[in-house]
Amino acid sequence: MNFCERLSAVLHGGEPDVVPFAPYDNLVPRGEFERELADRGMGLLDRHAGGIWSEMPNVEIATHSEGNVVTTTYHTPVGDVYTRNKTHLGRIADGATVQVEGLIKDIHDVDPVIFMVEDTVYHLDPRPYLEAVRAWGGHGYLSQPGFAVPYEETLGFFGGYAGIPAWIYAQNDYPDAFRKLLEALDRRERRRLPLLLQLPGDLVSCGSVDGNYGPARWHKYDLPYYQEFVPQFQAVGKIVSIHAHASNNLAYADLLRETGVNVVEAFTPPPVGDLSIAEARRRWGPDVVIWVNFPETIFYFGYEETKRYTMELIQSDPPGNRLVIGFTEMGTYGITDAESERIFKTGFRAVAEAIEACGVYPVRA
Amino acid sequence: MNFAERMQAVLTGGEVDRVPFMSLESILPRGELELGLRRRGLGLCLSRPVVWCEYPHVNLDVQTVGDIATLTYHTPRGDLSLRQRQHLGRLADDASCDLDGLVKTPADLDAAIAMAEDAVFHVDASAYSDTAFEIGADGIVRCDGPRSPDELSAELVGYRPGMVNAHQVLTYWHHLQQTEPTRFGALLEALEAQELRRMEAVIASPVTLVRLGRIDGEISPARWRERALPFYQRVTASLRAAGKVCSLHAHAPNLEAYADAIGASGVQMVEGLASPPLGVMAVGQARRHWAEEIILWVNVPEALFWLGSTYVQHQVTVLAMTGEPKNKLIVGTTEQGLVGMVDDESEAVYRAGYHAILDGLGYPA
Repeated sequence: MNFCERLSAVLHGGEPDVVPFAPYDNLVPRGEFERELADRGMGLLDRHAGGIWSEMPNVEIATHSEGNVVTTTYHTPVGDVYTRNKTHLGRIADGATVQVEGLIKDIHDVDPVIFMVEDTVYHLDPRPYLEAVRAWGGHGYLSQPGFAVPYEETLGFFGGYAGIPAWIYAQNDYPDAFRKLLEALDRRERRRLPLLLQLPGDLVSCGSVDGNYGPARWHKYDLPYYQEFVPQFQAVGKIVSIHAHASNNLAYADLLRETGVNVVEAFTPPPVGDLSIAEARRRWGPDVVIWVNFPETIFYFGYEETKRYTMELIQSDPPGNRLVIGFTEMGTYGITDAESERIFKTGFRAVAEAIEACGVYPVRA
Repeated sequence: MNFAERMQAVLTGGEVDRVPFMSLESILPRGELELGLRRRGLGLCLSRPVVWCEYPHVNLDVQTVGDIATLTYHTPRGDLSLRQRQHLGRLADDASCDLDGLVKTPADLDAAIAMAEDAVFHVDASAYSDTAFEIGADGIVRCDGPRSPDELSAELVGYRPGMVNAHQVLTYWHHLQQTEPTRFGALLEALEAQELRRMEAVIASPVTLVRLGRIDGEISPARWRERALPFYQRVTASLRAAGKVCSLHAHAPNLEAYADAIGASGVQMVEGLASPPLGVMAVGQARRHWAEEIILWVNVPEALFWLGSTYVQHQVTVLAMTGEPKNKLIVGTTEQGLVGMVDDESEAVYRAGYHAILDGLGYPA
C-alpha cells in the first residue's frame, strides 16, 4: 500500500497495512528531512483551499501599508470596516501575517460586516483541487473545507484569538446585533451548502473544537449544525472531520459523539490534552477515526521516551484501523535553533520507528 | 554527492560527480512524482524574497467583480490601475492573469514615476533562511534581484512573457517612448534608481544566488545591448564584489542574437537556455560564446518528452557532453514543469521524460 491507499483504507472503514503517519503538509515542508520521513512511509495531508471561490461584488477593498502594518478597509454601502495586519514577521505557519485588529471593534461595525456576509457570492471551480490530487499521487491526501459553523465563525470578525475579549463583550453589550450577524452567517452557509455537496473528493473539514467557549455554548450553538449538515454530507459520500484541537477535549467528548462526524482530527492526547485515545474510543465507538496530533512536547524527553510514548498510543487503540498519527499544530515549525533541530528530528524519527515497530495492522494491545 | 554538494561545487568551481538536475520549485508541485525524482537526485531551485518593498505614500484599492479584480494605486501624482483575472484554474504561482498594465496613457507616466520614487526596500531574510533550512540538501534558495529599467517599463504597460497580445502592448510601449521621450526617460531614471536601491538591500542580505532579469526575445538584441546591458554590467559588478552569484533567465528561443551581450553582462549563470530543437543556440555554441566559467542551466523542453524516453535520454547525454565542463553545467526544467501534466497519458509521458533526464545524466535508478 502507498500512503494514499493506506489513509483511504482507514477513512473508508477498510484495513490498512500499517497505521498511517500523516502530518499536515505545511508542518513538514518540502525538503531533505521530509524525504527521509517519506522513505519511512510518512505521507502528507494537504488541506486544500477547495473548489469554491467567493466574491463580494458590492464591497470595495482598499489596502494601505505603513511599514509592516497593512490596513485593509472594506467599503460597503452601509459603512466602512477595516482590519490591521502585521506582516513580515518571519516564520509563521499558514501565512506570514498576524491580525492585530479585527473587522468588528464596536457595534457600528456590525452592519457593514453583515452586509459583507450577505454580499458574498460563491462559485464552484474544482479544477485546482483535481489537479492537486494528480500531483500528490500516492504521497498525499487532500481535504477541503466543508461547512462552517456560524457561532465559531463570528470570532474571526473580532480578530480571532486576539479578539476573544471583544467577542465576549459584544455578545453581552449588543446581543441583538450579534444575533443578526449569526443569522446572516447561517444564511451564507445555506447558500454555500449546495456547492459544497457538489465538490469532488471525499474528506471535508467542518469546524473545530478550540476550547475558546464552554461545552454549554458549543452544545447550544455548534452541535445543531453538525446534526443538520453532517448527514447531508455523508449522504453524498463525504467523510466529515472536525478539528478538535482543544486541550480540554474531555469536556466535549460526548458532544463530539453527538455530532456524528467520521473523523476527529487534531486530537491531542495526554499529557497535553486531557482525553486519552482509549477513553475517546470508549465514548465514540469503533468506527470514528481518531487522527492524533502528536504533542511535540514529548520530543524533549528524548528518543526512547518518544518511541515508547508513540508505541503506547498505538497499542492503546487496537486493531489500529481507525487511527492516524499526525502533526496538526506545530510540526517542524518548532525548530528554531540547532538544539531544537536535534530534538525535533530525533523525535520525528522516533515516531516513525515506533509506527514501524508496532503499527502493523492488526495492532496488538 | 548529494544535490546541495553538487550545486556548491558548481557555484564555487569544485568537482562534481554528475551534472546537477535542477527544476524550479514553482513548476514542480509536491507529490509522488517530484518526491521520486528527488530520491534519485533531482534538486529544486526555490525563489524567496530577501527584501520587501514598501510604498509609504501609495494607497491600494482593490475592487473585485466576478473573477476580475481591479487594483488601483493612489499615488501623490495620480492613480494607476490594473485589472487581474483570478480563479483561472491551473496557473503557476499566483493563479491570476494581468489583463492590462498600470500605464495605459501618457498621463499615467507621472504616477508611475511617483510610485518608483516612493519604493523603499527593507531586508527580511527570514523566509529565505527558513526555506534554506527546510529544503536542506534537496535544493538551493535564491532571490530575485534588480531588473533593467527597460524590462520593468515594458511590464508597466502590460507586457508579460508568453502573453497573447505582446505585439500590441510592445507597439504601445514604443509609441510612448516616441511621443513622450522626456517623461519616459524620467520613468527609466526613476526605475533605475529604484532597482539600485533594491540592489543595495540584496547586497545587505545573506543570499548568494541572485536572479536578475529576463531575456524573452521580445526586446531586440540591439536595444538590449544599448539599454539593458549597461545596467546589468553596473549591478553585476556591485553584486559580485559582495560575493553574490548573478544569473539571467535567458529563455528566448533566438538567444544566439544576444550571446555577445550576455557574455559582456557580467552574470555568472545563464538559465532557461533552450537548446535546439526549440531554441536556435545549441549548448556547445553557448559554451563557445561564453567563458568556461559561465554556468549554463539548460532547460530540457517538456515537448521532447512526447518523443519518448529513449530520445530524451539520448538528447540529455549529448547535452551533458557538449556543455562540458560538467561542473559549470546544470540540466533542468525551467518553463513548464508539471503544469503540462493534465491527464493520465500526459502524466505517464512526463513521468517517463523526467526520469529519462536522470538516466541520461547517469543517476542511479
